[in-house]
Amino acid sequence: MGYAKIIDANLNLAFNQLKDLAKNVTFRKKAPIGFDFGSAEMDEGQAADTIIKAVVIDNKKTSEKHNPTKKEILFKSRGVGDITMYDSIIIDNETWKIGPIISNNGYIVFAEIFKEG
Amino acid sequence: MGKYENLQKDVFSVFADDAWVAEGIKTYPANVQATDTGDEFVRVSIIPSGFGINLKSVSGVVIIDIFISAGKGPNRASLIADKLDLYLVGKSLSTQADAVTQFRHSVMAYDGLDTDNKTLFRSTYTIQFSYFGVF
Repeated sequence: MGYAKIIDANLNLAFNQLKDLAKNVTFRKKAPIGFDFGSAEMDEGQAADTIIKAVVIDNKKTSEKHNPTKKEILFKSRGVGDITMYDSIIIDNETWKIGPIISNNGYIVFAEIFKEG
Repeated sequence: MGKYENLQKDVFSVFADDAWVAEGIKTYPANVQATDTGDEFVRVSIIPSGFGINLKSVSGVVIIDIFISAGKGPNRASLIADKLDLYLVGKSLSTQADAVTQFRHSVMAYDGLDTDNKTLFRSTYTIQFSYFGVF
């Protein structure tokens, strides 16, 4: 078994050991087609959902001027591809927009996700 | 439509036009995360920050960030700026009745390596405009 598979297998083990701290969430991937200057609309393309295991590390209000909530989240990068601002994560039926990717080492992603209101 | 949307339509009409599309320069507006840029593209931002001659008018600048490959000199950025001049400088655009956007002078700044991707060289093309709306 190559190192990549060993790391992946151990990550699966780690997420399983976290039991209910690692939740099944939906990663909603969009395939943006592009911006149309004629209609001034962004075509975000079709959405494709994948169920992934994720761990929410932090959850806080980040502004006094409006009402965003920020979570910090860890999930395996395998299967989610290139992450863009058009992708989202659905946790407990609430849709969260993906913000800055703090780190992505090719195996695990540490990202900030946001929800307004 | 209001003056800001009219102005945006006038500016965007340049980049929606077949002639500009045929130039093959990937073009994106502000607040779009481009996912297929390659190593050459431009990003268009409209800054209507100046007062106009009446309440339905406004003036400002259009800032176009030009991204090219780093390490190849400024020539490609200059060529793209010259193409932008052809489509913008001195032009009057009117996509809506009772309104016109007039473009005036352009200037160019060769800024240096892009802070987010140091394999790209960023230049800034800026052109003044006045949007006139009538009552």
